[in-house]
Order: sequence, then C-alpha cells, then structure tokens
Amino acid sequence: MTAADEQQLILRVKDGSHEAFRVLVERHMKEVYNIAYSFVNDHDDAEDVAQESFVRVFQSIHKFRGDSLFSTWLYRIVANMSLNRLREHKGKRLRETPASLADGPSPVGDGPDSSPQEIRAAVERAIHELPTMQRAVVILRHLDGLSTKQVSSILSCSHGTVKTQLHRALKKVRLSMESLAAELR
Amino acid sequence: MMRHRKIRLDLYEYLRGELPADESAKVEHHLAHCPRCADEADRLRRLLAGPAQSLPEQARPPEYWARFAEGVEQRIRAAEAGRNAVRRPVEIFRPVFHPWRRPALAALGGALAVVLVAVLLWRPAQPPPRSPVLTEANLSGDEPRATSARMEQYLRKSKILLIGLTNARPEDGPNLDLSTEREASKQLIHEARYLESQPIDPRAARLIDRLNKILIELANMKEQGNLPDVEILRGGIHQENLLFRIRMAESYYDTTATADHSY
Repeated sequence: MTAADEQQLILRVKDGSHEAFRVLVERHMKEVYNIAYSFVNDHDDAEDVAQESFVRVFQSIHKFRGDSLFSTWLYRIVANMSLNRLREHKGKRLRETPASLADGPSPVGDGPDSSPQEIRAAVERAIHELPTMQRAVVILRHLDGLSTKQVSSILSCSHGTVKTQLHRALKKVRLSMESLAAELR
Repeated sequence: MMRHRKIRLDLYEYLRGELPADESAKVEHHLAHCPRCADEADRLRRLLAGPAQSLPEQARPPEYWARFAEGVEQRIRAAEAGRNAVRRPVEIFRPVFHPWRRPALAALGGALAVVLVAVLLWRPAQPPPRSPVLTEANLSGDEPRATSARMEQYLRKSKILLIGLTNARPEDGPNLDLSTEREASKQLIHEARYLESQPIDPRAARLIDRLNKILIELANMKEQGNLPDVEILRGGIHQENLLFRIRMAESYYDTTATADHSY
C-alpha cells in the first residue's frame, strides 16, 4: 500500500467509514500488538491495549492532521495507552511467563550442545525480565527492526536514550546468557 | 571515558552495518586500539549472531489475526452504543429547559415538565446496553442459554468465595479455618472444567483460567491455612484484579435464570 493509498483510507475513515478503518487495522495490527506487548509483557493485556488503541484512533481520527506519518501517530497512542495500563497495575502485576518458558528453566549455554530452541528460550526469558523501557527498546529496535528514530518517536525520548537503553538491555541479556553458559561448564 | 562510552553505544549500529561510513571508520579505528571495547564488540557480535528471536505477534496463530479487526470493530460499536445511551436522557430533558418567552405558556410548560419527570421516574430502569462482543447472538459458537446460566452462577460463587477469602480473619490463633473455602473451590474447579468444554466467549475462558490458578492453590491448602499463605493468595487476587474482572463478566452474563443459593 502506498502512502497515497493510506491517505485516501484515512480520509474515508474521517468520513466515518468502518470498512476503510478495518483495512488500516489489518495493516498495522501486528506492529501495534508488538509495541503493546513490549510494554505490558502479557499477551492478554497486549491484546486489550492494542484493540483499545485502535478504538481510540478511530474516535480521534479527526485530530490527525498528517504532520507526521500515520504510523508514528498510531504507535505513540499505543505507547501511551500501554504506559497507562502499566501505571494502573504498578507494583501489582503477576508477570505472565511466556508459554515457551512455562515448564521452568531449561539448561542452556553457548556450548555446541545447546540447541537453537534452548538458546532462543533463554534469550526470551532474559528479555522478559528486563525493565519496561529496556524491554520495549529491545523488542522494537532489535526484534522488530524499527530505526532509532522511529523508536525514539514512539517512546517520546531522544535518540541517545534509545541507544543507551538498548546498550544496557543487550548487556544484561548477554551477561545473563554468559552466566548460564558458565553454570553449565 | 566519554569516547569509550560513545563507541559502545554505537556498537549495535556498527555491527548491523547501520552507521554512516565515516562513523563506522571511527569505531573500527577505536576497536583496533582498545582491547576492552573490542572485547565488548566481540561479545555483542556473538549475541547478535545467535538464533533469531520471535516477535510477540508470532505467539498468536493466524486465526487470531483473522479475527482481530472484527474485535476492534465490536469495541467501536460498543463504545458508540454506550455514548448513545448516555445522550438520550439529555435529549429528553432539553425541551424541558428551553427558555419559555410567553409567561402564559411557561406555567403550562412547567406542569408538563412535572408530568414528564414523573412518567420517567416511574418507568422501569432499562438495563445497560450489552456490548455486542458478548451478546448471545454474537458469541462465537452461539453460547447456549444453559451454559450462560451456569457461567453466571460460577461467577457469582467465585466472587463470594474470593470476597470471603479476602475478608476472612482468624478467630483463634494464627490459622484460618479454610474447610468451607476448600470445598467451594473444588466445586468451582469442577464446574470450570465443564464450562471450558463448552463454546464460551474467549474472555470468559481467560477469566476462568485466571480464577483456576487461585482456586487450585486454595483447594490444595491445608484446612487450617496459615496466614502468610492466605496473604499470598489475597495478593494474587488483588494483582490479577479478579473481583473487578468477575464483576465485568457478570454484567454480560446477567440472565433471568433462577439463582442457586446453595454454597
């Protein structure tokens, strides 16, 4: 879909077209979900936040003036709603364990005997345990491949902050992997 | 020190080939002369060379994404229905507050207003509009009425159990008598198994799943439960916001089925 096509869709949504909005939802839903999850760290909450974000977008579409990309505007809404959700649950969360880790810690290391799945699970666990901001940056910048500029726009922070948070997050993940590998030797 | 810090912050982009050529050359030059930064670069390179991680979206199956937009649509319509329900009373009262210019008609208008308000107050309150997401016609698989009634009872009993557990205090000594609560939780776990085998709304299924975690813990506790263990359960109820979630679900499952008051 070209930028011009998306502009047309947005105009139709402003006229009240639910069909046009559905197309926008389907175009952005996975990215929105990833952003929500990167903050709330829970699939049920991510679904809730993602869907509510789209509702908010539909209700506020008249406020979108096209000064920025639609995706930038949308992703900022998702980030804000995710942060609101986290504030609601501050200090009270039972963090959901990702399904792949639900069976408990798996022995893993950097050695030749560690399967890719084991390494992947260990990295996933390490990312899951990061502080919110670091986790959001890792998921958006490293896993999702968004640029530093896009991530800084979504998180409303400077490029330097994105790079610093990413550096700290990857260092933590790396140290976690290295200590696991050391335990197994 | 500043130089080392800046280099380390640039390492990610350097290793991914995302730095401009001149910046990349600076990093390369520094790494050639700084063993510590070079070591950090090697470690980061090994981490990035590991198996690709999956994105959160990939935890959901294709069927989930096929239904996602529909879920958004239903929420939009529910929000619109909610706004219209609030707007209606205002529209009814608007003519009552319209400024009358002719005194002769003002008295008549006042009398009519009194009659109108009396009629409105007498009229039975309308139930709040149900979210289209969870009306019977829209439930995936057309949840049968009997299942809805059992769900309503399950929710009510769970709520009573959790409120009782939250408020319970030991009468004598440091332990709580949990014999009644354990029995109730076992019954509810059994009922949950039946409900999960029925075509119920996915949200209700998730709520049952959350409730089961608490109920199973409770069912496995000793009859004389010690307070620290009970506090952990209470913490779990609070953290999961279970009572709020049950109340939300109850408002959707409000049926006219006769309540079973046995407990």
